Amino acid sequence: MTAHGVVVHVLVWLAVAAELVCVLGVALGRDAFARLHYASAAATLGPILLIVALLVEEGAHSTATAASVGVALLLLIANPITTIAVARAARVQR
Amino acid sequence: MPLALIVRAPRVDALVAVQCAGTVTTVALLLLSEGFKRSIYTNVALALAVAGPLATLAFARFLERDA
Repeated sequence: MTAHGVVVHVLVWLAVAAELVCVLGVALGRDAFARLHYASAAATLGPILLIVALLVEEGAHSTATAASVGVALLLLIANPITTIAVARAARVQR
Repeated sequence: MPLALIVRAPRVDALVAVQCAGTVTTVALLLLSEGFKRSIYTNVALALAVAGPLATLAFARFLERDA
C-alpha cells in the first residue's frame, strides 16, 4: 500500500472512530447538555475528516467528490443552528 | 444505541439522539457512496443532510413551545 493509501485509510478510520465515540457519548451522557456536546462533535469531526480523506483520495476536480464535500459542508453549517435550538429547548424544559 | 435512547429517554434527550442518528447516517451514506462508487447514495445523503436539521429544528421549536 502506498503512503497515499495509508493516509486515506487512517483518515477514514479516524472518522469512523470519532463517530463511534460520539454515539457512545450520546448514549451514556448524564443529561441533555452533555449528550448535545457529543452530538455536536459527531457532526463536526466526522465530516471534516471525511472531506480531507476524499480530497486526498480523489482530488478536488472530481464531481462525485464535490457532491460529497457539499453534503459534509451542509452538515457542518447546519450543526451549530440545530445544536443551539435543541439547547434552548432543553433549557426551557428544565 | 441512539435508537434505544429515542424510545426510552426524556423528550429533549431523544431529540438529541435523533439529531446524532441523522448525522451518523449521513456520514455512513457518504462512506458507502465512496466505497461502492454509487453516486445515488450521495443523493440520499444530500436529502438527509437537508431534511434532518429541518426536522430537528421543528421538533425543538415544538418542545420549546410545549414547556
